[in-house]
Amino acid sequence: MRIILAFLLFSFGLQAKEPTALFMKLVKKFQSVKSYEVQATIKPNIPLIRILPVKAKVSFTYPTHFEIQAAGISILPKNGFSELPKLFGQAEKFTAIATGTENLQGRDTEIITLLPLDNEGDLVLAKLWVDAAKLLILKSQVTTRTNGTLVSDYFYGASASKGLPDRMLVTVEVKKFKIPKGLATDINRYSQVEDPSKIKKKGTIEVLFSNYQIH
Amino acid sequence: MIFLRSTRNELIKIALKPRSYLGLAAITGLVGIILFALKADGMSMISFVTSSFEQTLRFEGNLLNGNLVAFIVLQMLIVHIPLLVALVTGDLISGEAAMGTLRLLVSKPISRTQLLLSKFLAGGIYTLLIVLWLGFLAVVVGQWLFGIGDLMVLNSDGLVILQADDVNWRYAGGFCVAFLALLTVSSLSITLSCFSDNSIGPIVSTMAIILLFTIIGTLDVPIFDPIRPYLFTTHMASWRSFFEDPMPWESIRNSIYILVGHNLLLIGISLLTFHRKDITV
Repeated sequence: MRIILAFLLFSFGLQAKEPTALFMKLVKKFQSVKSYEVQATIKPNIPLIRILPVKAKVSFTYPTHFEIQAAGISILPKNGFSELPKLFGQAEKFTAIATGTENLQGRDTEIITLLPLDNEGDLVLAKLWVDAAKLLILKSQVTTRTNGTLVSDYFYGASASKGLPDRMLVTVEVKKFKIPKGLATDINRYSQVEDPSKIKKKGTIEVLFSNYQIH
Repeated sequence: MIFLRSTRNELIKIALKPRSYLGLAAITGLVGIILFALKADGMSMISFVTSSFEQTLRFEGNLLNGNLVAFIVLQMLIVHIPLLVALVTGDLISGEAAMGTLRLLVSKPISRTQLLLSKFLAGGIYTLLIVLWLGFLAVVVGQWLFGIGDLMVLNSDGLVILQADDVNWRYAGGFCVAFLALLTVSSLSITLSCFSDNSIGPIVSTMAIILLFTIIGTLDVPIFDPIRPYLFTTHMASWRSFFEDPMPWESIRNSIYILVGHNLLLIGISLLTFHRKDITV
């Protein structure tokens, strides 16, 4: 009986240590890049918004500062690109739990779920799909009180060694959109959407990164 | 030659009437008020529009720029411009009849057709001036005050964001179609002017017809479906089609055909009426 109990305690201890250790390795890798600049092409595909891809220059300064310079109007996820840096910047405020494995982009990933230690923060839950062999996050799902759930997929290329993606695909939920006629003043226009229930409720924002200049 | 001289005379008569400047002054005042309001509190209006998306999305860049301001100004004012046009063009024949100068005019060595067409041309030039003045205030002054940027087109069922370098030719096209629509109003009021011997009648009748057709056009009742596409008021907002993506060329072409058809029909009716008109006073 004692042997079984000891085994269980040992295995729980291992489970608690392994995801935490993996998460801390990711944090350390993230901290190794103090700043960078990169050219980005932002391609939003949001229901009820028509916009052409926009080119932008993205500058990052450790720990969470992003600056986006675009020639015109661009559409980004609510928190821009700072979801993951915010998590890494407050690593001590979470408990990391291993919640399974999954094959993504042809790679085996470990799923780490991050739970906040207190209930006062904005973050409710975060899940990371991590390629443990290369220390790369292939997917993240961050749920916050203010912004809902944001799912991002990351695709890596030349800057994979620094943990910087070449392509990022963010899936966002879109609420029903309606401008009062008085504001739009397109009184003679009839809705081009025949059945409002057919409007997609999810959109994507694809960001292609190129020409990283890491400092 | 006599036709051009007659047109010049008509333009001089328009220029000498104080009411001709009423339209330009009204446009200047209205655009000034809208620009002031947008400069003071435009961002709250934009926030109201974008708030549906802002739980998950963020709009980066200068949303409240000259292109958006010009678009808002045009949307707000293009509905009211017909009154300002009819105020002057509705008076071109009936005003002369009321003053007793029409008989003198037709006794001159110019055919009734040439005389009437010169009035149509003068009315068209005045309409063009109104459109150009509106365009100058909305686009040029708007861009000067608010800067240039991508245009966020506010539709009731979504947003279309057009890049700044893709906007100016759309404004040019939009103004051409808006001019054609207002030219139809000018032609309508001149035609009605042929039937009347007082100034007020054609102006009020023009506005009443526009109001009636607009109500028929906006009432979502199936009985009006067959006639709605042929009402010129349905195509008065066609300038907006230039700001859609993809551009509905077929719809724009159709609107141009309908508006040109209306103009030709109205000119034909007025020529027929004016030729048969018994000018006794």
